[in-house]
Amino acid sequence: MSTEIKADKVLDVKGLVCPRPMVMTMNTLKAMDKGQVIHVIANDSSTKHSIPALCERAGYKLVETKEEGGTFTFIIQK
Amino acid sequence: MDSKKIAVIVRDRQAEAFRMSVGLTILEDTIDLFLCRPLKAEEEVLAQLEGVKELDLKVFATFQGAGLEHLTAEDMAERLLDYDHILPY
Amino acid sequence: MKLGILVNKDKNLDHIIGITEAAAGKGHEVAIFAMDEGVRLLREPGFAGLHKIQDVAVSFCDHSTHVFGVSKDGLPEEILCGSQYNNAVMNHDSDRVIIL
Repeated sequence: MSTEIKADKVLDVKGLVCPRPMVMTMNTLKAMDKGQVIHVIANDSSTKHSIPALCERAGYKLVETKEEGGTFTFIIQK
Repeated sequence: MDSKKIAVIVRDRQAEAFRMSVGLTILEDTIDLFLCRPLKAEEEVLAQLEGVKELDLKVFATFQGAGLEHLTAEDMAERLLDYDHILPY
Repeated sequence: MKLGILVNKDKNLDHIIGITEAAAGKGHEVAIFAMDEGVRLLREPGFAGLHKIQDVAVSFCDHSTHVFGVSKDGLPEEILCGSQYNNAVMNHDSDRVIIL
């Protein structure tokens, strides 16, 4: 995780498969305030394209994305 | 774009029908499920059904005894007229 | 008009191609999403080539390719390796959706 960006929430969806990581990310973001930041950790490969696409469509800012050893991390600002 | 109203008719491949239904909620469309055949007592089916229940999606059954809201086939047919998309699975 | 085609079986390739070509030929947009057994069609040249038609977009559920052991090697990059999110988008944006 980026050391410069403090997340308001951490959502660990490792072990969950499509579509649960996307649904949980979207539902968590919906409940957050504008400007707040979430750190999502997933290991389902379908998140690689879908979470960035979801952010773009919903107008959320994808601040950072990383893939390391099969784990995907996303830092998203609502 | 306005939200859509989508009906998923759950028939044979129930685990995938439930998994798909959960995914369809991502864009805040309304998803209702109509179960036309008894629930299969399979681990994957029950696991995916849990996901449906967690999201509080409406699940109707055209048969009695599943612990779900019962509808006759006629009631179901009438309700289906209200949906934008009907996805039999 | 935009037509969505949800492909969840591998039995209807001729219909998928025929309907896609007919709809696109009439000037309609077509979105195709493959999941479940439908991802087996990704290995069929006729299916994998549908993205070449103007205003036709193809995506599939990556999870299903793992379940059915379908290789993604050599797939055109225009075919989007996605998830149920892409199905949600297709259903949300399409005027009509059919399942084949």
